[in-house]
Amino acid sequence: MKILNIIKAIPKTIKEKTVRFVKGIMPFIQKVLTFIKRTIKKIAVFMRHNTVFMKEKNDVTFFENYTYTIKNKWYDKFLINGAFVLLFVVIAGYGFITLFKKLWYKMTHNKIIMNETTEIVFFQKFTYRVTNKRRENFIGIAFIFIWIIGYLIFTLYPVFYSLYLSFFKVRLSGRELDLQFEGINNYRAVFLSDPYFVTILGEYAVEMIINVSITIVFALVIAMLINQDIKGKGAWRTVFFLPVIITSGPVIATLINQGATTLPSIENYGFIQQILDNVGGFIANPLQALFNQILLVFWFAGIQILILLAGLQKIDRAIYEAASIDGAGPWESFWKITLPSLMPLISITIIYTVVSMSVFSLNEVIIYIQNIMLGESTSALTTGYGYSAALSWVYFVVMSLIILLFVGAISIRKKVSG
Amino acid sequence: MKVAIRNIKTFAHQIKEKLQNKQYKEAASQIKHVFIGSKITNGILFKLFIYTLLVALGYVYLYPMLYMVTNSLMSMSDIINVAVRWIPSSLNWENYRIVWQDLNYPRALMQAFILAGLPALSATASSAFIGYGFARFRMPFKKTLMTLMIMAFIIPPQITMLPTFRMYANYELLGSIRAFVYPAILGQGLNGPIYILIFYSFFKTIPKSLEESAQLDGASSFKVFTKIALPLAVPSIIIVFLFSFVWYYNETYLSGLFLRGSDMLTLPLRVQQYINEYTSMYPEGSRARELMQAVSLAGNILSILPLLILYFFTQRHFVESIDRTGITGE
Repeated sequence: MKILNIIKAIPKTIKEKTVRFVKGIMPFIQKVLTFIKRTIKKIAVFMRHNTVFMKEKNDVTFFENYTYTIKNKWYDKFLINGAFVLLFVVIAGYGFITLFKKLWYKMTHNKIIMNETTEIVFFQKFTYRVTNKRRENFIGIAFIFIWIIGYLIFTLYPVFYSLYLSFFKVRLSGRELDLQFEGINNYRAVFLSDPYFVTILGEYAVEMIINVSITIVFALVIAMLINQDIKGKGAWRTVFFLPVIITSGPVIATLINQGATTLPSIENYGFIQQILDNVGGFIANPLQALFNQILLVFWFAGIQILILLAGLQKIDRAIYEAASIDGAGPWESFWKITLPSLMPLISITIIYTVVSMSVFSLNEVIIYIQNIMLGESTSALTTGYGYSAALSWVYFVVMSLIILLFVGAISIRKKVSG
Repeated sequence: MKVAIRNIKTFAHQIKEKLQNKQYKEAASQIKHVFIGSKITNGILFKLFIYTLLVALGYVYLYPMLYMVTNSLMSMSDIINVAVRWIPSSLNWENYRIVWQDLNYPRALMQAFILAGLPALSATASSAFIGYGFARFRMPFKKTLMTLMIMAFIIPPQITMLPTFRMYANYELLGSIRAFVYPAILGQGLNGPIYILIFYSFFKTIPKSLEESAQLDGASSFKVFTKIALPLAVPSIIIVFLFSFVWYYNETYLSGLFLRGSDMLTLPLRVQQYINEYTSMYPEGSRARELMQAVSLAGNILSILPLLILYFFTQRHFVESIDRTGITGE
């Protein structure tokens, strides 16, 4: 029992000690920081006011003799201030680098850590042999270290925290979060008591399956057209890549509002309306949505066209020649040569298309989730952060399922065809 | 063009000769050869078919753009007039003048460039560094780390949105450009994995012996990176910078959240805000409301104009980018 008590007691004292230590050292750190600030200021002031170079409010005097009056023009100010900043950066940078080198040497050559060429000695006792492999590992990790930190802070932590939040009822009280454990109630609510979300999610899934297939087929057609022996390949590539550069939420919102995203002649053909009237609403609604913004679906194909085009250009022409000698026409060589060799690229383009369409800011599901998160939704059953976290996880799962569906379908075809 | 005309002339001449000599079969076979070709894919008919298809698809593709440009130039009477479909009766720059003045365009553009440029710069710098680390050095769990990196690309921002939003609120990053620069510096910017992959596959192609010779001369790894690898990577640097610039410029979801209610706004968001204000200013059915359509299109054109100009001068780099990501093999 005594041992247990001791163990219990240790963390408390250590905690108090560390707090006291940090509190004690804080003023010291602040003093050092203010000292550094003051020195920098002093240097800056000295740089402007010395015998060689004297700057007063509107005059600059060189060597106490030549005076130059600053006109109130922006370029004058820009030049003078820019020159100062540059000079300061060069001088201070040089100073800091030399200082840092000396510090680094002191830090790696002392009694605690002794860095020698082939080994590192800790406390003058324990040696750690530095082999080539270990050194390479260390340098490599040093290079990607910023990425690891960023990944932990900006990707991993938010992902796990939002997963955690999705099991809670979250209320904002001031700046603090008021958590109340709910178990899987949030997820149950998504499916059982939020009819709107389930509807738009279903529509999203159907729409995504149609749109992604159309985008991929369209991209493949365009890529193969451009890959033919035609004039002005570069110009065509430029045209079909253009939307990638200019598409953003507001631009597209305006275009949709004004009906510029539907083909002007589609409305003139009655048969599409007839098709829509004759199939069930579950299929007709996404189809209608598709025809209303078919051009947008095409516009998502820019990068995919380039990927497939690059893939097409990598296929060896000799294979086609060999096939045509064996009597294969263009139709056969497309199915037997072109498509199989493009397969890996097609799965990449599918993933890219699904992701870029799903995270696009005009996506209905995304707008819905965002409104709930920011408390702008009028829906009565919203429970704020926790609920919207659950929504986005459900959304993510559906999105991954769609990707899996596509990639799975492709790999099955591959197995069947041999 | 001259060659084509000469070819046509000789072709017509040959056919004529053959017809005069009553060699009908030969003439027919020659005509067939030219139009359909030995294989289907190299005759004139096939070429014609391809060009028609390309032009048609290109028209469909650019239709929204054309619509935007022409309609933004229309005056009020043109918009109402059903007969005017494509070409405005007179070029009406009034819409642009209104938007230009109300937006304070030069200042808004400056802000948008800073908002896109700084994060893009930091993303480029950091991803060059990280890509080099991944490409050059053996390290434990490298494959796992790279898989994690690609996974991050698939996760939609909605999932990480809430915690990130709160984190930024706690550290008072909301409403300032730092909310974009900090993640970019740590390699987690917009589409960060793509930039890292571009650099990764580029640095893989540089022969290692080049760097080893420098190392023999006593250069440290960091020096090798800055003195040898980076200067070789200039094309990749340009590509990554252009792409991240364009993506940050067009970003509306994250910037809509983080910059909500602040003075700094990206240009597309600002245009949208302006259009919303403009719409609410005038009652439904008033004459100014009719002009709305053209004004909002003019605003959108002004917001994408800088990118169009940028693309016009640098399109080669954009188009080459796919080859450099290395996703097409090698």
